[in-house]
Amino acid sequence: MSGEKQYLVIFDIGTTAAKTIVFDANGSIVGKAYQEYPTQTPSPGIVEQNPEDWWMAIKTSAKKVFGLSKIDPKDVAGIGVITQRATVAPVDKNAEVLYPAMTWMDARSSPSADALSEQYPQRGTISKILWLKDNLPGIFKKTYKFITVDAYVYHKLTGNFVSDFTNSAYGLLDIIRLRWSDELSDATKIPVEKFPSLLSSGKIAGELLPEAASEVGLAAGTPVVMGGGDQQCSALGLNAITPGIIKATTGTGTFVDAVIDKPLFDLYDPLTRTFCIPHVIPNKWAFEAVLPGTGLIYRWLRDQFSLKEVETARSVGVDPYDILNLEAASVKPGSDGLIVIPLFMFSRGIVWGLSFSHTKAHLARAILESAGYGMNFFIEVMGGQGIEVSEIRVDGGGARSPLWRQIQADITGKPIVLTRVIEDASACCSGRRRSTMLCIGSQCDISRGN
Amino acid sequence: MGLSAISPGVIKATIGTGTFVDAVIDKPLFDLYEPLTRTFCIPHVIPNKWAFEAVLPGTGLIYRWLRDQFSLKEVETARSVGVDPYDILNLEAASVKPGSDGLIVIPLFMFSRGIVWGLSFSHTKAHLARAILESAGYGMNFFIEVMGGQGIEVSEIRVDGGGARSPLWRQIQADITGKPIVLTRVIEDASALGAAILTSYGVGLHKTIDEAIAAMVKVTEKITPIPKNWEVYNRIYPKFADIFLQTAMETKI
Repeated sequence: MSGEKQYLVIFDIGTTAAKTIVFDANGSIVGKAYQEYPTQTPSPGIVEQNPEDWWMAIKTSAKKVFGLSKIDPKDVAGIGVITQRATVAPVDKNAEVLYPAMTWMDARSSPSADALSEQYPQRGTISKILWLKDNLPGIFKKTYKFITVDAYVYHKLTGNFVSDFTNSAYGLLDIIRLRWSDELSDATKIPVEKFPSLLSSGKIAGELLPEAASEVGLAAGTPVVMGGGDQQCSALGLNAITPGIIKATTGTGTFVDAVIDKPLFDLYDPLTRTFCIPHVIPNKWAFEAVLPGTGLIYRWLRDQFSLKEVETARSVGVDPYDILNLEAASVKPGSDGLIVIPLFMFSRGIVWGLSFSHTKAHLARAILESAGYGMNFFIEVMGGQGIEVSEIRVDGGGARSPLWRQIQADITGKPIVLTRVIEDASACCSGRRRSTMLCIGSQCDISRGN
Repeated sequence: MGLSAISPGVIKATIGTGTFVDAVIDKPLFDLYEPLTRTFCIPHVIPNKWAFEAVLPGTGLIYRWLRDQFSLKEVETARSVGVDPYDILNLEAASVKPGSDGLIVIPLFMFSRGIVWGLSFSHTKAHLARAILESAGYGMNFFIEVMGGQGIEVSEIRVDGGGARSPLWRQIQADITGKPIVLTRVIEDASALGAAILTSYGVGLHKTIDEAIAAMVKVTEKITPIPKNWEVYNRIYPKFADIFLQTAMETKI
């Protein structure tokens, strides 16, 4: 491989922070920085972000990366984008934001949104737009485009209003034919014109605009390539795209994804609470099960009940989670009968079976185990759909803990495989080299268990 | 007796390690223990009276468990500024609205069936502290309902024990039960005062038990329910009772 144009710059706009990650053509990370952005929760169920904060965080993280490294912007072959999904904001013709982005965690609803959910469940983007239509009709009328996170970022980078299938799936997308659905548009009275143009993952979104180029420190004209939703990208980045191999990401929540050849149903199956969504790989779909909040529960334990651990961790220079992990490891498998039901996101979290012999260490272990039980539940659901699982590839912050990985293996009875990238598997897939995506096959090192 | 909770309508509730609710009755309703309502009929110290007693063990211990397992920082701060760690936890609990924003504690820790129900990410340690205090109040209300089922009406609750020290906890108990909560001069030694009353009568210092009580028991405070809070708790209580009963049945407590 020649030395020039070898770098791939990935902007990852996650749930709480934006990252800039630079890969070389071998899938090695050569630069990385991240910048958090605020989330507003003005009242229960309302979870908003400001799209301008995403862009600020991208700029800040990009500057951190390029300020520190010797990467010449001219050597960047392409830019890729991965995002949190099902987050939506209304913008005008100039992509000026008319109302804060309603995130995927936002649970607002309105009569027409509820009616839609009856017939077309889990179309989260549409529900939020209908809420806006019901409550702020003036803004709905003024809206030129409803943009998901990817569309906002592509517009900042290229000036084009485009979105890929993995992001559009929660909107008006026809999941099977992969185009805006007239049926859904009729049912919701939301014109398809209010959405960006559709482009497949891996296609060129446009060229980097001069203004954006100077803001992120890259060369104008650099190709920007359609990436995709974080979970599908993570499956690709973990090379969990062959039958039998699934991926499980434990970040703020647990996302379990299998690759399938055809959608088994339209978007969402209420009975098994699973999704069939377009994959970033052409002509493939992802069978996805989501248990939101698993990782956040461990953070909740840290922030609400572990002030002493946080203080100690700070004074000795370790991560507070490492101390909590040590506590959790001191408890026997099964947490002496303590069971956590990880439905905190739905205000139905439960800590069950408490006695006076249970300590904070028990609660820590029971939280880790609850994510494992959740994972196992979804593997059983997949089995019911005829999807066999022989191996689980893990990523996300939760994959960092050897104890948590062992708990997952012990609960599911399946081998748990770790790859070289733990938190950036989704970034690993994006980017472009001769219109193909990186990290397929040999490009992605499997450091263990392959 | 030390609380003068010995006339019809006036019951006593002690929160120490657990909650003990006692009413005075004229005749035992059954022989010692009634498995269905899980209550006791036991002889009283007053001649020809019996006590109808309901026990929920562990309520006070749960607050201690919160302090010891999850409040290292509060304990440290309390030590350095010279206050009781519970006072800090009470301040935290007081910062949360009645109903703990949906958090419910089932106080069956003694039977390894303690439950913290309805958790969300907006719940803090302060919520857990308040929910623990509320759980003892719900438990008390549960027993008052059981008493009602036995024909024992309750118009006033006299409290003692370590749990009675907290004004917040007393207000919560009033708001949940909808009954006035009465505090007397002795908070943790009401049983000793009861014995002193018996002794004073026994040695003839006072001619009758009633006279001894009138002379020795002093009411210092009467808290009445705040209607707005009572409404909130009235809405939540059925959920508590539902989970509490179901859990208790499952475990044959």
